[in-house]
Amino acid sequence: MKALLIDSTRCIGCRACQVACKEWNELNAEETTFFSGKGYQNPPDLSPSTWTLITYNEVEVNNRFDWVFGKMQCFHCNVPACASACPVSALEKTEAGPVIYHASICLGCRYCQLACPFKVPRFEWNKIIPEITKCTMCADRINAGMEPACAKVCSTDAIVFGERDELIAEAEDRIRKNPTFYIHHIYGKEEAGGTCVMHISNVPFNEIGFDTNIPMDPIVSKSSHAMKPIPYVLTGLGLVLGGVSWVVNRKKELEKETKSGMEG
Amino acid sequence: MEKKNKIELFDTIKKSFGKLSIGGKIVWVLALFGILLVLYRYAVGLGGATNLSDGYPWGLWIGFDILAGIALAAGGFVMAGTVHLFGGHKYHSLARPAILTALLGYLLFIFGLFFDLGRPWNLWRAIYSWNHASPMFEVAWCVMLYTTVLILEFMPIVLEKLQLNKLLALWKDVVPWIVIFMLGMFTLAMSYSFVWALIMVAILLVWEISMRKGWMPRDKQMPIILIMAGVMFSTMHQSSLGTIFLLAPTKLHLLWYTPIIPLLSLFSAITAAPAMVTFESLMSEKILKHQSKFDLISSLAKWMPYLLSFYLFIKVADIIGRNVALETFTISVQAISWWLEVLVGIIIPLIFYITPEIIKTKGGMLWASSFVVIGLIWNRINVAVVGIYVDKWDPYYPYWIEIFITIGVVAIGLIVFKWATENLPIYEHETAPTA
Amino acid sequence: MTNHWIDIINTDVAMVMGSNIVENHPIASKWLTRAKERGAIIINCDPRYTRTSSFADIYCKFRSGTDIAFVNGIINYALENDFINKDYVLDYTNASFLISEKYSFNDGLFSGYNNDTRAYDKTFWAYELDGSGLPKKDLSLQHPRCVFQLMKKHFKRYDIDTVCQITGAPKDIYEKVCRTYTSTWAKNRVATWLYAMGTTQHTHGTQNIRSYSILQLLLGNVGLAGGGINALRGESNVQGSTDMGLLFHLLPGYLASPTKADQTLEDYKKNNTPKTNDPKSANWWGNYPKYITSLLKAWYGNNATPDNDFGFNYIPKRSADYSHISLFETMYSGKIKGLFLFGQNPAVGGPNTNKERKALDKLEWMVAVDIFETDTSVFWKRPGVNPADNQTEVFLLPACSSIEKEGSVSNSGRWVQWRYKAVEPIGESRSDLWILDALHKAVKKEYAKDGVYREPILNLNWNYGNGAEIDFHKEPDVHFVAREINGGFVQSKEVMILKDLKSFKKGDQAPSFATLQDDGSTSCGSWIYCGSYPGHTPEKNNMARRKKKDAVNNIGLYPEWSWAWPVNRRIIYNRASVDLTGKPLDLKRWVIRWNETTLKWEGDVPDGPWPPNDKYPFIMKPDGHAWLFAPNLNDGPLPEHYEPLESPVENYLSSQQVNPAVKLWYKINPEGNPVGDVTKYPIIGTTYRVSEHWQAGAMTRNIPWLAELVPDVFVELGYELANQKNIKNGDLVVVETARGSMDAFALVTRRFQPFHLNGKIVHEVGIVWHFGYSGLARGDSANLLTSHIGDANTMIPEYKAFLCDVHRKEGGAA
Repeated sequence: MKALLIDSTRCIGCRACQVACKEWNELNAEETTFFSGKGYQNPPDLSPSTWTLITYNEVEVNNRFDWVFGKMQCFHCNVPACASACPVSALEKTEAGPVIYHASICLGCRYCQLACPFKVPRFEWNKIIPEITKCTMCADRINAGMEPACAKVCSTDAIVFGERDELIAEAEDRIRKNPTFYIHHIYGKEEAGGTCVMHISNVPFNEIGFDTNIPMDPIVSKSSHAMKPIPYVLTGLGLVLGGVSWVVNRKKELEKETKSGMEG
Repeated sequence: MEKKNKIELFDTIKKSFGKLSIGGKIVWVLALFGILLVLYRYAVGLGGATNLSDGYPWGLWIGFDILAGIALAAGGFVMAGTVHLFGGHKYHSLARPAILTALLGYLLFIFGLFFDLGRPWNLWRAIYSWNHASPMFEVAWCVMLYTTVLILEFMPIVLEKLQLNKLLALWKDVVPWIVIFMLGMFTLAMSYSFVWALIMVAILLVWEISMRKGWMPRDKQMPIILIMAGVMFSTMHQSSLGTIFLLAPTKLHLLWYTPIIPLLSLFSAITAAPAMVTFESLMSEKILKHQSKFDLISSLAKWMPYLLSFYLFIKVADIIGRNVALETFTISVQAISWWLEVLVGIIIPLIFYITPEIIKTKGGMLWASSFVVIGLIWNRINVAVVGIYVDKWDPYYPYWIEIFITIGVVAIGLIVFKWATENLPIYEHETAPTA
Repeated sequence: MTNHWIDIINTDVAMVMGSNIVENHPIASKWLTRAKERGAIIINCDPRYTRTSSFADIYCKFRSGTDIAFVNGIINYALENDFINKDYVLDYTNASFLISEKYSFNDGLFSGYNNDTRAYDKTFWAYELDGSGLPKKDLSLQHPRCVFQLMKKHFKRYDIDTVCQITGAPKDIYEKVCRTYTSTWAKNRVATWLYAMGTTQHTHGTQNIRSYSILQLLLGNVGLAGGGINALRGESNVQGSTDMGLLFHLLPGYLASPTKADQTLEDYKKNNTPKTNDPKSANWWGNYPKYITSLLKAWYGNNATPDNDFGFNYIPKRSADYSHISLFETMYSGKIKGLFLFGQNPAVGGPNTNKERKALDKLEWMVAVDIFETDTSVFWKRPGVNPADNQTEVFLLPACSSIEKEGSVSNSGRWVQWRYKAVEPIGESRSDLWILDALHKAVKKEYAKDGVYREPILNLNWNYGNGAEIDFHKEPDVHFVAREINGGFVQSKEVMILKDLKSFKKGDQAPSFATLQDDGSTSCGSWIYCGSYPGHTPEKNNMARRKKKDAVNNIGLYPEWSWAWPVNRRIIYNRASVDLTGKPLDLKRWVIRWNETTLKWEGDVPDGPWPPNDKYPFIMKPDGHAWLFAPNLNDGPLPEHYEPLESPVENYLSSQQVNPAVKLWYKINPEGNPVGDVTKYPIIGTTYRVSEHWQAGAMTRNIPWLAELVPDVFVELGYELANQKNIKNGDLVVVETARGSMDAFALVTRRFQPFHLNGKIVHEVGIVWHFGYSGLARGDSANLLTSHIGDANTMIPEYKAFLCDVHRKEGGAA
């Protein structure tokens, strides 16, 4: 499974990734004024025309001021909550890694948005024929043997594209070689059951815009206790209801027979 | 000619409208306004008609029109089951209005989907594009199938009215096979397993054939298999509407986010069912002047203290068990809203139901059942709206258009209900045709 | 760059000062990242915490305009603690040379200063020569007049406390910077110095770079892999432009443009060719006559003959200062009638743009060649101006972008890389080459009819393969141009190369500039590019080479990837990377080494083929040594701290407030050139770029995706100042100087901190200068604030330090 490893200590906040994303995916520029967020951030958030976004975080690390950049985009979970939630499988986890979207079958129910723990999918609220939008990990490029646009243009190799297990090994290696520098955590290795977009950093992840309260299991596992028994419950009900009705109605019939017998 | 026709039509409408009471007029205006707003919503997209956002993609319509609407329609399967499966024949006269309410509820729910969904024209794709991991998929199937069940359950009323006895007979004959097919397909879709589907079909076939062969008693009015299907589908999706929120562990407040939310969802709907039937009956008496069966209602009300106590017990046991009881004592919108839900929806009506002086009167009964109904609605809005907290987004409050569309939907429901009760044998069908 | 981009990997310590490499050369960060991962320490010194600072291991703030004090302090630290590479200093620099008795330094002034002309008599700083005309040396470095002792005396005044009072750098961090950087004096450690516009755009810009160079030489870091003085050029092909004579005082190949003193070719050669009596000095500029003659042959072909001095007098003589400020002052006075702009946008990029925009009003005509409508091309309808009042005739010629044409691009590391056309030009746009070719043909046609002194035009050697007439659909063949630049033999000739005699036929391309002649037998458009295209077919185009194979020393030279001038040498002054026996100083990262068996150099192309110690390593200097002491600069042989023209404090070190050798435009032309006073304008202002926009913005402010990222002009200021001025993040504020005012959004940040200067607290603000009134993303230009004052040597304007005030715009809360 292909994945991206993003090292915030290598990121220089140049936003070539943000522009390359729009260029490849033919997304519109947004109208902005000044900056909309901390530092140079623009636009304010992920949106139907912004699938990846760099955040600018002024933080304190070991009593030293630092400016650290975070990259927001779809995490392409191994077991994506959005794809689990989608009633019609409009969202699909592909074997290659990307979580992709098939607009033609989407109902627009937005359950994917509710389910996504990373709050990534965006809905085209102001369109008459709206779609759910998000980073596709450039699945089309991957299929054509290329790397995602953002990884391609990253000049410092802050974004590296490769096999997920190899990238985990690489990330562990970087942390091992520089243990006092990095936070000893690969964000995305286990979050939400593991994701195909993983981050390492020298500042706590919550300080650069990542949610650190994400469960470590796939989100869908939260509902498995309710979903798994369905066939049992169904057949059980089929048996029990029929049985009860038999017993109860038999009783009634017996009563009636007695009654009608009396009435003649 | 044409012009004349138009004028005549206009006059008729004017006359009919003039005949309505003030309340009736208001209901009609609200319904029409709601429809206009729905058209507006189609013109501008969801963004222009709602306060929904990517952080809060679900709002009032999901909470009220869908979750609460479906829950309140639980009266249909509860009463149908009680009457036809569990031998509660004495409640027969309460079943038809309950089925009507349920059918209306589901039709309005589907109508609601048409403006809440971004791409409603794709709704039918759920039939072939399956995802059995999704609680929403289950809900979608259940709703489609249960609405079909309700229509089938409702058909005798229409056929009876139209005196189409042959058709009624045919209906009785064919319906079980349709239902068996539906349940088989449903089981297949939920399990992705032909084995389970075959087991299901086999069980149902055994029952149906037993009944046809006379080895097993048969309800002559209503195919048992149909009622069973109603109960099964309802059990599944009433609980699944809770399951849906299990996929929002980081967003739904701890007071409501519990592994047993499917059970709570199902049980709260069952608990409210008698109250809803009561409420409806007493309200129709007030407004539509149908004589209510107060004795039957009182008999139903006897169940309420048990149901409410049990519901309260599992709800409280749940928050204690999950060690989040202290959350209820924090000063937050969520804690306050939780208390209101529990007080209004459970504790106050419980007190009413166990106080004979109150429950003996129609007014007291109406109040008690109203509280339960309001409490259920409150619960669903808590789960879908108040309890949802998403970092970084402005909290969601419904936009006025959302509110008026919801009101419009309720108004349409009232109009159709009134029309149905006036034109179909809903209440006239007073003696159980046991003969 | 003495070195090149990839070579940054090899460093142990990278100093980024006077540049914001990460934001303005983001691709270069790749190599910094690799260095960092190898264990290199990145130091960033900047008035503001930038994206480069976030990338660095050590960040030290200092006040804009105090670079010299900052670096002189490090030099002093090295000298005081003896953290210097003694052998290197002794063998390869002029540290041991004795300086004339006339040299002295007193209260900020070097000897030889003339108050009236504001100029130095540089003979006061000359070497003391012995009988044979060679500089006297004291190899013990003890003589009080040897360069080393003069330096010790000069730099002693820059102790850490003094430096911190002047620059506002925090003492502990500054000490750490000194300690870390000077640790590279050791032979097995090396540091690189990366600088850009932050260095050059000061009244003492040249001396800023001098201070870096001195430090690098003392530490023995020049010529080595991972070392050097590396100018990060401000545009992707500005290196190529300067190589081709972009600057007003230069012809292609850094040959001087003739002046009135050069009445004949002989005068020119005499005035420009340096001489030495030292047989060990290669004195490469001794070849000056060959290069100028070959250049004239390239330009005038058969019309360049010994009889007409090879057409030398066809070249106009420089009679005045044609630097940017001077040009616009002259334009303002109405003397300049017409203006050609190729990819230039001075209405945004020029200093004191209020005045420069008014200067444009006085033009009779203007031709702007650009890929977008620039602010300058629509100066006549700029805000506050009635187009009907403007009489200038303006032509906007649509030019191709770089990807719509074929040609070479020279990067900062002197790599000349060939690029192919990726897409067809949009609309009626044409390459600059087509436009120039057509212009030439049209002008020639007019001169063919009649005109005054027609020969320089009519005699031009002009054939670029697209016919004699202007053809809209026929681009000139850029390979013709490239081959002309490389040069070749116009008649058959036998040439001695080292000990081999090689014969060339008429029409042969020259393999290297060592074969160029001063007798008219060779032509060459830019001698330093000789060897870039040594054949007639595109296969011989060395610039197009793309082999990813490294050289034997494995230090990232990639000698067969494109071609670097001179003669594909990737690290210049590389003869200084070995000791006198030819053994590399740094064995692990060796650049060149002498092979005793083959008697040849290995590795990079050495700075001349001679065996070790046959010649001194700094072959471009007549004495063959690197100049710690540089007697040829206009403002002194050693760098000295002076304040910027506008400064919040008095010079802590001397009574010379401003560089005494700069031209004071506010005195020469007071109109439109006011100077601000600290009482009225107490805040330091500086300007800079962001990654998201490019220069004067025409190319980026018209791209919606980039306009989205940085849509508006903004001023960055610290919380302390913001609180004091009641400014909140996102407020619209006014920044004012004596020359103009601008509106900008306030970005309040912790990345700007106030400076404590000798007991005084001073604030600094920074403004992006990309904006103008044309294009998609618009805003006031920061250069409305800057002034007409330039460096004493280069005339580069002092954009980087001025005085201003900031306040909330009334009713301007955003």
